[in-house]
Amino acid sequence: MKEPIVKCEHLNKHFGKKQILKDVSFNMYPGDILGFIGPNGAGKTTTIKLILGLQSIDSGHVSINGYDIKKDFEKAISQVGAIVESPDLYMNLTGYQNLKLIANYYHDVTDENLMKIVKVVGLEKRINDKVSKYSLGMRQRLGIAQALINSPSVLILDEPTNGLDPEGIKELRTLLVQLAHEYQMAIFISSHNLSELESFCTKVVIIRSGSIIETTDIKSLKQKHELPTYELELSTKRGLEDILVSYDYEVKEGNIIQLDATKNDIKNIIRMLVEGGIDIYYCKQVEMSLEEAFLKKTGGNVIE
Amino acid sequence: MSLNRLIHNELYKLFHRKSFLITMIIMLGLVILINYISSMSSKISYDNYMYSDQNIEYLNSEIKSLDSTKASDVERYVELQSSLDTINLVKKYPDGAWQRYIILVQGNILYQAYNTAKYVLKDDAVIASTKKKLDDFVATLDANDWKVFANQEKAGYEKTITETEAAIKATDDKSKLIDLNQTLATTKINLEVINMRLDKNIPYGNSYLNTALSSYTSGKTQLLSYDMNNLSEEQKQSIKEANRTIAEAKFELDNNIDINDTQTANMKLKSVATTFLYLYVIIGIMVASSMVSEEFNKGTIKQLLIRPFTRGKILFAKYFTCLVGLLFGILCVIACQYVMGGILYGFGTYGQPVVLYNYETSTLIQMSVLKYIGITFLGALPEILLLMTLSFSISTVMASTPSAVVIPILTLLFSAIINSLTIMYQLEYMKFFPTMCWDLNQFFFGNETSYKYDSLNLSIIMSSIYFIGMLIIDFIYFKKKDIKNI
Repeated sequence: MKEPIVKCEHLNKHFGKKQILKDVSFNMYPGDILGFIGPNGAGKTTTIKLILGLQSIDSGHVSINGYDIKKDFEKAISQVGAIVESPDLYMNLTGYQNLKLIANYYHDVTDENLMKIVKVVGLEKRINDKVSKYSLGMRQRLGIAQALINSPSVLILDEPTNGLDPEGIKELRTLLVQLAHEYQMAIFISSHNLSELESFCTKVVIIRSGSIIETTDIKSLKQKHELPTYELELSTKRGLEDILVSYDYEVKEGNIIQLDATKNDIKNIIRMLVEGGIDIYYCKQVEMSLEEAFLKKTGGNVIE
Repeated sequence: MSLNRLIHNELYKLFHRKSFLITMIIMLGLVILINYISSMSSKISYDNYMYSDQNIEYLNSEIKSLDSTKASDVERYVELQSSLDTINLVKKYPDGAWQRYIILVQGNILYQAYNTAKYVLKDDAVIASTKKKLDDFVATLDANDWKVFANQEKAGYEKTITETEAAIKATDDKSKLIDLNQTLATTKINLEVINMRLDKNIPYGNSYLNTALSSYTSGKTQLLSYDMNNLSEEQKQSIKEANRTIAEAKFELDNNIDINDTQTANMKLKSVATTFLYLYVIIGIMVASSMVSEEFNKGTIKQLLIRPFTRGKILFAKYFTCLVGLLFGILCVIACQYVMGGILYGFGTYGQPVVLYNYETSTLIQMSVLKYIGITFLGALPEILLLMTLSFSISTVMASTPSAVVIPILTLLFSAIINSLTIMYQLEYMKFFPTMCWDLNQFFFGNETSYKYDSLNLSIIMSSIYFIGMLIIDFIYFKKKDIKNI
């Protein structure tokens, strides 16, 4: 087993009397793309700030590359690139000047490297424009470029898909997968939107009200939902309970129900319903996304 | 060095800040304007009313209304006619000619005598003799040798001295003796001065050397009038001032340098530290107030704090940048003053030394302008630095640019009131108050301060304590600060 590159152990954080994080622990390994999922206000950004040393840790430890963020801040942070909340840019400077400023903090970033990164995020045509003229999506790209400047081994992105169009999101996914594969970068992405991440994340951590409620890799997660889900619209629900006595089903709205079943089962169910005097308008297999699966787990978008 | 990179970036950001560049341009515009206005107001010449056409017209009309043959009018007639004659004679010579000053002293008397003879006495012999004197006078003037008059003056003083000395020997009357001794001393001073005039070849006129001669005379004469064994506080002060006048006049005469002319490029440059003190404070506040708070407001602080530098280093780089920004501002103002002064008053006076009178040692100090500017800046430094650091601290702790601008400026405004109240009531405990400590210039060059509890050492110590205290609080706070959502 490889050593984890990011280790969060039992993180706790209070603001006043309010406990924001409760015993948050997880690990990241090189090449991981970790989706950090939770509704608004769950403590995603706070966790990121704790990892980056932007906020003090009440109790617990964060280590990056084996260096403690509190004690060895400079060494720990030197391998990290991040966007926190939103890209933080100097609006009065050009995109290139913004990147150059960041590059100046490291002694080994050449102008060539810089231009390579600009190409990677697809800003080469507008890089000499002032950031104030950029669209939100372009700022997001520039923010990612900023995070990549020091060729980090850990990349932390807070809601990076904000403001990106579908094309941009697709490009970002491709880029992140490439970074994780080619450079063995560990990538941490927070989002309230699991559907954006499920296609390329290797790991998922779910946080709710400051506590981690699920840490798993994506494969095992998907296995839990092996059974396909079917949706049926019926002419009536009368007598339904008696007919489907041995199946779990869920009433969506009106006369529409959903249930998880094998192909064989659904064949039997349809027959039983028809024989029981309930007509069926349609029956279709629905793709149950991870997001929907997790909404049950996270209890929806409840902000506490 | 990693700090180099931080400082480099901070400077880059500062010099790309529009507000900084705009403020600098406004400041320099202000310097140019102040210089221009002050040079304009000094160029307004005050035409002597005596020589004006209005006065001549008035005299003419007055004379016309009088009848010289009437006994009641004749005295006034003679007086006005003599004035008119004197003025006409004066106007024969160009502006600033030495003759004018001689005429004003001697010409009027000669015309009075002549006109009296002509209109009152009506005695041909007297008329002829006064006319002769007058013609001789004019002829001497036309010969254009002022030394003739100076030598006349000198001979007059020498004569008075001989006579007075003789009188002193002859008399026993104590009160008379005092008077005679007084006359003797005064005349000796006059003799010394006229000898100086001849030695140094100073024609009569209104040049600064003439002013120096008269200052020297009045200073010396003033000293004679005090009883040195029994002096009141006020008299002691007057004596100090008189000594200063004498020393300065002597210096001007010895070195041919006008040290009291404020309308020169050099003199304007000399006082650059005090004249534009508020500008430096504003530049300092301008640079410091947004140094940290703007990074917080725009969120860019996060990108800065996740770079491999401790927060201490980051804040140090920021403070250092403030100092560089301030220095840049000060140098710009000095350079601007140098150029403007040169353009308005001519570059010729640059390089002349600065001359100061030290009341403590009763001596004149001479130093180069550069050194003087350096020392006065050092004296003003606590005020500029304390206000800038206050602004920087507020910017860091409160993350609010408006507060970081307004609070230091209010402090500056209130300091004037607080200080004047403290001095008025001579409040001792206020000697520890920052606004009482931050001006070191009041202690330099033997100046006497109006507040009896302060001293240079105390001021330096207290200013340092406030300065270091603010920075310590600032650094501790910044190190521990949680970066909240922005």
